[in-house]
Amino acid sequence: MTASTIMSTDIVTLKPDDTISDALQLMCKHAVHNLPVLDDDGTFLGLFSLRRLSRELLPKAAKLDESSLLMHINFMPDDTDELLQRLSKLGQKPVSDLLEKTSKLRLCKPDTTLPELLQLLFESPISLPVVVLKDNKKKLSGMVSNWDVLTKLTVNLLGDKAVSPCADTKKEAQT
Amino acid sequence: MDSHASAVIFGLDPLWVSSIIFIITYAVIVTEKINRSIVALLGAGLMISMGVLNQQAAINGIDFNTLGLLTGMMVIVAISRRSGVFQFVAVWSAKKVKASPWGILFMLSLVTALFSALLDNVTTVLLIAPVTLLITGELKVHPYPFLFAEIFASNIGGTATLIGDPPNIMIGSAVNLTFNDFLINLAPITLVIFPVTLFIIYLIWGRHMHASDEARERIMQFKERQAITDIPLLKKSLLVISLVIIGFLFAHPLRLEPATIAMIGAALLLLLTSINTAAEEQSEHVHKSFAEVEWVTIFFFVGLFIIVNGIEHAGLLEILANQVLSITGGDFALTAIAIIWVSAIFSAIVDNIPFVATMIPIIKSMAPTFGGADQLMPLWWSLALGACLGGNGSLVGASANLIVAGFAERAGYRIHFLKFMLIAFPLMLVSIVIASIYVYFRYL
Repeated sequence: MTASTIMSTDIVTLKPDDTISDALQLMCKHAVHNLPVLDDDGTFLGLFSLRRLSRELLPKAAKLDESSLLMHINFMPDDTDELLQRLSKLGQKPVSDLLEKTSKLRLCKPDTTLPELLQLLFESPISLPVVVLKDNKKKLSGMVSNWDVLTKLTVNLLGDKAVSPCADTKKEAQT
Repeated sequence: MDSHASAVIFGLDPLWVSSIIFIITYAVIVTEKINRSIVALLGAGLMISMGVLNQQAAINGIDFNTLGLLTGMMVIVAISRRSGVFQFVAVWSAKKVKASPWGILFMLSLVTALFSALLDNVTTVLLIAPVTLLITGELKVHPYPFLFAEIFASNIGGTATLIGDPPNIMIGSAVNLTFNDFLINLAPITLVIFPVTLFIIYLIWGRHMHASDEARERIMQFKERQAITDIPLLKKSLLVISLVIIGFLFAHPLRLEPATIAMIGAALLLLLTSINTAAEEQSEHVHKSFAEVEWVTIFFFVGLFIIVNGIEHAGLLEILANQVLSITGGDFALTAIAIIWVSAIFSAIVDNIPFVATMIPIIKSMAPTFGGADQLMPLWWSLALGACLGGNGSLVGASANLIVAGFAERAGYRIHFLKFMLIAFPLMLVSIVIASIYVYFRYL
């Protein structure tokens, strides 16, 4: 079994100049957390994630360190005015401004074997999928998320499709 | 007693070999092209492998007291900061002055100076800079004057005590000075330099600072109590820090080195925060706490100590000392004042730690000229004042400065080297003038 066996291929994509508010609308419509950004040739440029968006809503001083929490800001008051301000300013910006850092992304090939894929998925920050790129030209093949692991892998392994735990899923959330 | 007798390879002159290693090492460190710890360790390795120092001598050159003190304090701070106490103090003091911009600058500088005196400067600014940027962001004022003031506060505050700044730690250790010695000799003048510096900062920026009532109201809405995320931890931390300070104050009668006190404190705090937790949790907690020690800095010190020991062994430092004495004509007062000024200028341009490490043996070898080691005290105070205060002169003068600059850049407010130096260097010289007058009237 390889990545191509369980990856999701039916993916909504973004162009680098799409605005963030457009992207958010797409995310709501299709119930997804992450959207890949492709240029006109279909080359993968980066991942636009809700995770990154949530973080952007914080004041600048709370985002000084990428990897660790420099300080808790629970002493800040509860009002949402500033958050709304930041969100509306963000809405007009292009998605290319807010892509996940490449160091956070986990990439693989369509023929990547399952054990390695599972490790990459585990290593990947929570809610980020493993992005499957074919050949050196970085063309998007698909994405693998924990959801894919549940619906396509675990189910297969359990063998008896009649009692698939996902038989009653109303929508398939691509993550 | 000499294990592995030393002999420079190929029978080369140890003075030349050691001097060349020394110069190359320091030159590379100054250019900052390679991480300084790597350079220091390689330089140390060369000193040993080329035979300038044998293994025993190399180990003897390492000042474990300095290393132990730094490590112990770093562990204590790493654990204490998790309680959120530093954010609490910052927010509380900002509210105390009703969020007036100048008031906040004053309070945060005061907090920085006090913390710098008791903890090392780097850790202090690591804690203060983010919350400063947060507060100024909310207040909608430019953070530059605040960060500038905090840089100065950290270096001035650090001058006041034995443990406040690495130069003091190194000097105190080499000359067997106590916490109280520094308090009695250096703290008084820092209490003069600090307000003078703040006054000048007020004249430059403070007068023109203004924030809208709205913005100030936002700050007043901050709930500082929430900043304390772990009250039991806070109590344990304050307890251990108090014990450690008391330990420093009574170190002499107790016959304990500062490093011992700091390490006992660290172990005690680790114990207090580990009891009643499962073995695996304990392991992770201890691991994490030690991981936050700046090992890069510690190993930089190791390499540096060995290199300096190498050139001392080979006799280079005695030669340099004699040069200094011939320039000042053996005049004690002149030598002291010269030390303050030269230390200040050097410390502004390059990091003060290598400079002080080299100066210590040089000054020590002046003992015969000036009638014995006891007579050298004013020279030590001159070195401490010059090296610590000199760090304010430029962005690269002290590690704390670079940390603040790093945060400023990430927050989108890059501090430009020359723009900083244009005000910082003269302001630093003002403090040196005050220090010189002090040294002259008190000791010379």
